[in-house]
Amino acid sequence: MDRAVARSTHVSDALAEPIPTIEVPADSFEALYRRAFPRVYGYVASLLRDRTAAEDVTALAFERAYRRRRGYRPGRGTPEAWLFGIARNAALDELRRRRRRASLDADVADVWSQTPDEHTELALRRETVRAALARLDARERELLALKYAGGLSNAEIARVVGVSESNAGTKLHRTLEKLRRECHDDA
Amino acid sequence: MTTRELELLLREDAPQPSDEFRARMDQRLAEGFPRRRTRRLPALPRVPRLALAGAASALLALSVTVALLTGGEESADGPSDGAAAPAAGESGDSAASTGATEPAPDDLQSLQATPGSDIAPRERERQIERSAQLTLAAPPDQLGHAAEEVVAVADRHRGFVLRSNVSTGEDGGGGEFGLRIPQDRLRPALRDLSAIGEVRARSEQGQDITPAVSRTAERLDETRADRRGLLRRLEQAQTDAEARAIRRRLRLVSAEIRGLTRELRGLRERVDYAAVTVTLEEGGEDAGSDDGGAGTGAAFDDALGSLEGALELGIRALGVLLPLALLGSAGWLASRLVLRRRRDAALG
Repeated sequence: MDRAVARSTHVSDALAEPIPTIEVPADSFEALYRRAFPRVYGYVASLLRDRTAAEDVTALAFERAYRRRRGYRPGRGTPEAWLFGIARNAALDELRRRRRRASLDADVADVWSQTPDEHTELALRRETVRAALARLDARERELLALKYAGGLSNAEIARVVGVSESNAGTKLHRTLEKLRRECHDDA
Repeated sequence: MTTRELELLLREDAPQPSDEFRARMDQRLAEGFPRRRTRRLPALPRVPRLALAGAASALLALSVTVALLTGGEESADGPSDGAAAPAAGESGDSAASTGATEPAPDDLQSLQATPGSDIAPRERERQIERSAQLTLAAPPDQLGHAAEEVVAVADRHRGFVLRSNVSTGEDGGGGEFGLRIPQDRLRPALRDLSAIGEVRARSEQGQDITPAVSRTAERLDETRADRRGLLRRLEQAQTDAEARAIRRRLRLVSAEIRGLTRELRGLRERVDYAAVTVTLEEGGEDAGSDDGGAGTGAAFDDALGSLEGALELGIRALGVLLPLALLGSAGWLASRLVLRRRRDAALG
């Protein structure tokens, strides 16, 4: 399972920095886990906005991926895209079960860590962004979660959600611009 | 806020797993992610479900294959119980006597309750009259034996010989047989007859006589209803003249019932028993010789026949399994599509 270098076309290249590796065989499931665990959690938590559910779904996603690891085919995409596809399905199944859309409510504070000592202006900016995120629809939030919490490239995002790479890039760009306008309106 | 600043914020603000959760996951990785049940996510095992579905599909396919391959066989009772192998000629009359002025109550009951006279359910099925013609060749010195074999085959398959004509002599020999074979035994009987000698010709026909059977059955039902009505009127007759008139009419109706019953029985015999004509001719290889070539040839023919049978079985099985596999694949694809759409719908 070789990791492809993540490069995006519509957002800053500075974000596409290599993810640190650890000393395990590059093609092992453990290597994938080490690389992707916090990213999968970040994506799932952004989607579900519930820490307990995010932990359950993340664990389930890795369990399923572990059992299907021999079914992975390189021709179908990178290992990360494959793993995030499994995580996405598990998260959507959880959403279906809960039968409610992710919304800005008391659960929001559950997934984001509290940093009481951070600078007031930075805290205000974070809150502004979170409030603006809450006004996006679920599909738009998912794209942003895959990109920034999951750290996936546009090609990997396209594979996960089932669209073309150019379509994924265009949608990401538009969503980011929309979020920026929402943040500007709040400010 | 610039786009770059926004991107950095989004990345930095991504939810992070707690240390406790990270430690639990590391432990699960070390243990190979053992299955666990959660409050929200019941872990029904997939493999047994798939195995059960596969086993059910295989069982269904096997049942359908066996049913198709053994199709054509009628129910085990073969000819109806009421039609035991009749003598060659007219079938017997019904129980009613011809000279009675008034049918006895038990005669009426016997006519109505004769085993096998339950017309309606039987006649709703298609009534096919089948016949076959077979021309066999045998060496001149084996014609007699072949003729005996033809009769033996008829007996073995619960049939009978309607007519036979065998001749042997210096000018040549041959024979012709008219057999009646129960329809559910026709195929095995033809197979056994074909093994008697060299098959020079073989043909089979089927004729649908359902309309004739249905019409006769309906007329019989109507005539019986007339008879019941006449008997009720006879009970209520108030004068001798009226009673005599009713009795005359009853005699006519009874005779009509007897005729229709005979006609229906004849039709049913035509359906229950296939007419098989076997013609014996001189010719063919001398099956009794010790010639190794003939023995080898026969063995080769047998092997070829077995191969053809196996190939036929395989093609029939494929004809059943392939559509089932296609249906199964289509169903699986449809279910995956529905599931994908439902997941996407969860995002609103």
